[in-house]
Amino acid sequence: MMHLRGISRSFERPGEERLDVLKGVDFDVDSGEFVAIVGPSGSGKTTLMNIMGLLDRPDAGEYELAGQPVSDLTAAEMARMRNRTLGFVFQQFHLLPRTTAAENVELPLIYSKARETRSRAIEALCRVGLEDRLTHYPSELSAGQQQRVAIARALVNDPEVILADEPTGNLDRSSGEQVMGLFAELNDNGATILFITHDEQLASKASRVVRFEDGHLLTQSN
Amino acid sequence: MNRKLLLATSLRTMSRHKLRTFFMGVGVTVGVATLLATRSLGGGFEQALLEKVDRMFGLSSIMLNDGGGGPGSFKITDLEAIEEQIAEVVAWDPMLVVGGRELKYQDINRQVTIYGHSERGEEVWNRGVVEGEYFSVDDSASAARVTLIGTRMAEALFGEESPIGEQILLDSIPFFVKGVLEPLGIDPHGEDRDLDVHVPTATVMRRLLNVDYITSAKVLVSDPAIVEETAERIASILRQRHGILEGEPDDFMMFTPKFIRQRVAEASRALKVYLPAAAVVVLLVAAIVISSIMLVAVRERFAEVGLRKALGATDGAIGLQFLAEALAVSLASGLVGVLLGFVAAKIIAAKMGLPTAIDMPTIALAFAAAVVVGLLSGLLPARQAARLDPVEALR
Repeated sequence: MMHLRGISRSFERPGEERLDVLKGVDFDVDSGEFVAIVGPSGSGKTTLMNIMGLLDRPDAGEYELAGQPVSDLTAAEMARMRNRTLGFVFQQFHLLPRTTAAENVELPLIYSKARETRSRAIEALCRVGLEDRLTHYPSELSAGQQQRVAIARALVNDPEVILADEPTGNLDRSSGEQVMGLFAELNDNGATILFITHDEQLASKASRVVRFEDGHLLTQSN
Repeated sequence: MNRKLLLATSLRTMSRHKLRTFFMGVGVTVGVATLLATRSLGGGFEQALLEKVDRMFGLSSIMLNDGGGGPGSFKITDLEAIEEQIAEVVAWDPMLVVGGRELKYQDINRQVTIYGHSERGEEVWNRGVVEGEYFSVDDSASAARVTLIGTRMAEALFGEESPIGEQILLDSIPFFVKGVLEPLGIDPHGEDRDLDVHVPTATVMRRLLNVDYITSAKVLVSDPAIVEETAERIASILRQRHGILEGEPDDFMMFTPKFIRQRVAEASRALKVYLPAAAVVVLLVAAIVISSIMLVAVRERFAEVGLRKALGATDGAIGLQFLAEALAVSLASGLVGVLLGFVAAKIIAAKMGLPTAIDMPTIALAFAAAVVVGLLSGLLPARQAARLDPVEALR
């Protein structure tokens, strides 16, 4: 599903030393896997996920997503893959304020020019158990509910891969477990799931745990 | 995103940020309203002025004034010669206008300009009397001490009473009021013609000034189409009679309807061109305001833009969204501006007694201005938003 070879990424800020965040990462994820990425802050987990999510391009290395070498893709093709192939879940939820849950979930469908966007958005919200919160605004929802809206948004376009950057970081334990439950369910239905976490206990629910340290992938263990 | 959704999203953003939308739109509203109102009033003002000029002056008239040679060069015999030599001259009214004369009635003293007109003034100037009688041939022949006064002058002197047959003093000479002139209002020179005092030209010449010349005359030509060429023939007769050599300047001035219409157009240019130009400046400022508010909004909406990109929005779709928002704001405020401008033009026109000339091209112009403002002001923020790095924006 995803194949990374020799991926490097460094950042340069004026007046600061060059920061090598990824130092030649090799990483493979098969279709249908449920992978947890763990590691200390600043180890490059998020940068890796941004590259895997086509939000960022590597400085060097090859990345193949769903059989497509990413370096060949135009900006518009990358946008299309973000829309159809990938689904994102963020630590801060990133829901549009003053916009209802259903409208938030509808967004990816709008960019894929889909039909019956509203009914599909409602269907997705039903899958995450929020059928009674369709017209609520994010500010009227609990943190756990907001993250479930975000998950509905990630899954509404039936993506092959869901990328989640610390999805439970802002949630209490029970909400976090609910979110993990949803991921497990999606994984059972065939979606490939990658998530970053600091919580070893949550990581253990994944089928594979990948450890990151200082820009390198340390172990690939089950 | 399809067009309907783009519009819906824009309207939603506007309604969710009402205050911001208000500040963005107010400049466009004012600009468009000013543009429409001034263009409409300017058109109406010009129309009213032309109507008045046409009524007072007529389309087949030529006005002759002494000038260059000083007073005294222009004689009634000049006009008799013109009438004799040019068959197309159908009527003429010799005039002698003198300012700064003293009018006295009981304890009322006024400085007035006295207009000398012949008995043909009624026909030539298309202005008769609403009460009493106009000058007669006898009045001219005998240099009668009679006068015609404007409606407001009649009211000022006699109030509700009929002025006919009353006696007033002009430069201490008694005159009988023979009639009250048709109201005319303010002329294009700014004079209130309803305060006029008219006296037979012959009377001004013999009894008031004791001169043998006139100051001006109005000549009527049989056909408006030949006014300009007739004016040239009149000029050559006058030059010949006054012994002006070739190359020397005229000692008289001539005004034809074409010339006067040009002057009217110049006068109304202020309203028709300069004020709308000021409105265009307002619109440009409005564009800058919208642009800068939206640039701030783009920064505020960093996360939104980043998120939309993560969800599959292309750079084009993001740019289009901001452009559509700017366009929606300026179109909506442009629409309000058109309505406001329309109402303002109607109210001002009604107060000033002017017609309004609100035509489709003017409304189209105002709307086009709003669209241009929208596009101009949206371009920069749209580009900024489209170029945003999603990783940076989502951090």
